[in-house]
Amino acid sequence: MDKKILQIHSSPHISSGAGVDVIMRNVVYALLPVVAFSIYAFGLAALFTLMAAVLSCLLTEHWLCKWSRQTTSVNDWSVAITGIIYGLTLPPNLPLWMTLIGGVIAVSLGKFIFGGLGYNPFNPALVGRAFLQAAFPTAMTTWSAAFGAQRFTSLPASTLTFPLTSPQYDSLSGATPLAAMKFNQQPTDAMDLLLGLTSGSLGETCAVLILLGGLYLIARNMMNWRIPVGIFFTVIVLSALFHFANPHRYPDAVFMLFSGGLMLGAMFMATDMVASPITNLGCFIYGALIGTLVVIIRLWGGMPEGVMYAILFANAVSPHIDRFIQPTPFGHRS
Amino acid sequence: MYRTLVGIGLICALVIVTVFEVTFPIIKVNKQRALENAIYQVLANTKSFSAYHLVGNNNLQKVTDNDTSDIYACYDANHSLIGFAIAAQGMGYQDTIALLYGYSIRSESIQGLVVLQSRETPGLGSKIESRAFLDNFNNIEIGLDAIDNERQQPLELIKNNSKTHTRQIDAITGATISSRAVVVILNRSLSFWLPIVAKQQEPIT
Amino acid sequence: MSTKPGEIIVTGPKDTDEFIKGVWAQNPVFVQVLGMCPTLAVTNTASNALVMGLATAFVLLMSNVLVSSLRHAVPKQVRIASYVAIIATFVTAVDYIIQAVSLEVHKSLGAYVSLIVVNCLILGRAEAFASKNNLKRSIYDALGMGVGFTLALLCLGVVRELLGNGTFFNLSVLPGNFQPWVIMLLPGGAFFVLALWMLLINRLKQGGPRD
Repeated sequence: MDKKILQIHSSPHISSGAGVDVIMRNVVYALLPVVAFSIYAFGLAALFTLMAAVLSCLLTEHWLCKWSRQTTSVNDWSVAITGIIYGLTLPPNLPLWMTLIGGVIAVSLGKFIFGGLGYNPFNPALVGRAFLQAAFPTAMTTWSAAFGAQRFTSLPASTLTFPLTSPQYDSLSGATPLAAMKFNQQPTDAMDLLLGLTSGSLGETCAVLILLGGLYLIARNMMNWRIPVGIFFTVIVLSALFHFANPHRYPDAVFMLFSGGLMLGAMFMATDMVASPITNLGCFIYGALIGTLVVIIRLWGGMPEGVMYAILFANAVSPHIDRFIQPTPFGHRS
Repeated sequence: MYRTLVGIGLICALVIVTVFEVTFPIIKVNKQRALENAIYQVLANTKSFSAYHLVGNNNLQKVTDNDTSDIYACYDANHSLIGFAIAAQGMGYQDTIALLYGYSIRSESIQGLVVLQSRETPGLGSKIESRAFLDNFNNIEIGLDAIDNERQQPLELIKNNSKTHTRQIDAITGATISSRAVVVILNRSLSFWLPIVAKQQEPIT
Repeated sequence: MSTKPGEIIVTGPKDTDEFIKGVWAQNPVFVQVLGMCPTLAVTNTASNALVMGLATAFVLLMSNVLVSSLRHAVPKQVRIASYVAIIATFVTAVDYIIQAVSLEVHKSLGAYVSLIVVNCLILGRAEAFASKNNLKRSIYDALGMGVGFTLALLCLGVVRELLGNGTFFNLSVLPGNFQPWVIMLLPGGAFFVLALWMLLINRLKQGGPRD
């Protein structure tokens, strides 16, 4: 900023210097360890899936900007974040053509159609994933085991499926901890969950790295800590309560906290600046809503995992939360 | 004003009655043919059948109205009883699933199953109407006395094509709830009807 | 929609304009956004869409004919009641006719045949057009709207069936290993396809990209 003595534009006059691109670049830094771990755990499949996810999001955004004659917003990193997060929520052996379709949907129907960055009511990455989940439910719930022996030398057969044809899976699928719990009442060791030694979506397995990335963003004041705290608190309290009431039927709080996409969702998806509330109290309520929905869907729903739908639902509610808790202006009489 | 309304009412009534009179016999034939097709499909050698009603606790009585019946005695070309086609229904994933299955009393086995009505999720649960799933129900041996003696569910739902026995039913991938609903409906129906059929086959033959 | 059955008679007499109006300029689904319940619910296959469209078109035609011919006899105060009675009559008739033609088709349409009675398109045309115009124009109007509605439903049905099931009017047209898009058979997919068709049609109406 060059220093001018006379400011002739309207407020705000003091900027912290953190524009969209600066914040978004820091989110990328925070995500890098997660990305690195997912490539380490799932090998070439993760690398290709992430590349396809980012590429499809970037190209869609660029093409749509061109088509509607706007200046391209590809350079501010926000689309890249959408692509990375979207990629991290996908199962490792998803066919690449599905990854590409989901990326196009994420940016076009999740964001651009509402007016681009800043106007999207939902987290675009999750819109893309939700579309894929509804369109290809079988492919989206088939998981390959992590740390396969040949993960750096060969791609799974399903990844390179010819576009629009159904995938063939070459190895036996590994059940995610949540699916094992839901369908076979089989708990997973907490340490495995924490270190990411389990099967799951690309970026959701290693809870420690996700937590570190989130803490980095919170420390740099680039993420509202009230949202993840609200989510974690609700999930811990509710699941501890149910576990206490019936330990055989309901898993314990530690399992609920570190399994599935809860960490990734709470840290990087629920905190989407556009689709979350702007008031601090609103953020707590929003977090609590997500936490409650996650517990409800996981414990009683038909699907083992519910973070995605919980966040999308809370996204839809968030403007109403803000409106509901608007403070009364000083001196206002009803 | 009233005269107009009455007039319109009369026109409407006339139209409905005319259409009804013309279509009713055709609809009846259609329904009969659909039922026949379903019964021939689940019990292959059937040449004729008659509908029965449950009277009291375990007496079957012949009825003339096919529509409201739950159980049909099926006869071969020599008019001897080969088995029963039994209608069963229960809750699926979204709405009631109505099934019809054939039970042969000669081989004491389920011969086949058709789905009469279902509104399961298209592309997933709707696969309970697919050949691949229905083929699970061809030739499942269940003795007439099996229900009383074993006190266990006749059929069992399994996953991942790990079938080792005809009484195991392969669940459809992605539609476990619908698959389970079919098995549950069948189990309930079998436990209810097989003891009755076991006692009843003599007088009907 | 590239189909314009009325294109050859564009310059014809005034009455036939009512037909083209229903198919294109005031298409009930893509322009007026009427009758969304059947549009979203029963367009999961092309044949369902076709039967639904034809059934609606039939009810529309018959009710327009009756409403238009009785337009001087019906007092203003009870016109809505009589329109509803007329529409309900023909919906009941269509219900019986479909059952007589094919039970299978009736089963796959479910409750939506009876729901034609609350399709605002039909009451809308009765009130807005047939009650104010002569029989000939009302017939053209009903035909136009009916054809427009059927074509719009077919537009949705063909795309949804193709992507959701890999078939076209129950004929397999895509290779056997085609991966079906389940969402296209669900109501959610109908929203997507409807939105994309509207995008395309609005684009065509504006005539190329805006400057």
